[in-house]
Amino acid sequence: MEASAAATGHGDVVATIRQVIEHHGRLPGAVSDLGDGDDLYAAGLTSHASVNVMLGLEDAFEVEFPDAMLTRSVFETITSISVAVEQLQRDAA
Amino acid sequence: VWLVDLDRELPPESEFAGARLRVARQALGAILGELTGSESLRFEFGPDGKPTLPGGPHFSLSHSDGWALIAVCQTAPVGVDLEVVPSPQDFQAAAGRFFTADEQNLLAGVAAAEQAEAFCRMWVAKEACAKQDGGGLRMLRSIETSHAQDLSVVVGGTGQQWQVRGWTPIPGYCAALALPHDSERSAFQAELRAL
Repeated sequence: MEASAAATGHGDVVATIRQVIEHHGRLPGAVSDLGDGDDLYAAGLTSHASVNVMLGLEDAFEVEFPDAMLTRSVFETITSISVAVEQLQRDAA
Repeated sequence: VWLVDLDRELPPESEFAGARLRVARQALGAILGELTGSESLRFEFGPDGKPTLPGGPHFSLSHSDGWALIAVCQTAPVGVDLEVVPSPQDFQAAAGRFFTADEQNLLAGVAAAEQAEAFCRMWVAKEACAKQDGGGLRMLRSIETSHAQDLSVVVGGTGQQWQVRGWTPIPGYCAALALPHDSERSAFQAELRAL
């Protein structure tokens, strides 16, 4: 995994999330073309790919998503993913 | 059940993935509009985002790459899932995390060359059940497909049961349709239509 586990600042977190989506999201277009608030499902993210994104995020940030967070709304945008990751980082601190 | 070739319906030079989803939603709206005779559909959304149409019919939409499946049922909530068969590196981790021990054993017993398709068949069955329920991805680990004969009955961790039918709508893809276990068999007289 090319993403860094040391990502802690919000900008680092978002950049790492973008790398994970690029690697695991199987989107037909480039992640760099998407804004942080753009709908990832509308951009082509499937539910199976969103699970692989989640597993990639767990590797990159050394966190574990509880089942309760496996909802469409959590993986809908880069912003919503960053909110979830930062919450998990706070919980683990 | 309707199979929609999203790319055939795409307007030229349209922004690709977002346009595909719009085409899928337009197809769903056209089907539901025809069935209800209504020109204005007002959807409601469950706590996990499952859309429903007050007064029915029940429906489910799934899309993967350039294809979509739309399932409609008059008598019971329905779930449908469509996925492209993944590459080997794209399913091992998901199977390890979301498949039960029995499901993982079942998968391990399949010839290596057929594992990706076997994974896909089980995955779409689990996800169709989760979509039927409305609980979404968080339910996946509790849904058990390995003891189902031909994936015909699938059991959830709470004892919830579904009837599931799996099929290959187009080469390289797996699909599954789920209904509550107590649904009348006539509800499963599914007809695949191309849109």
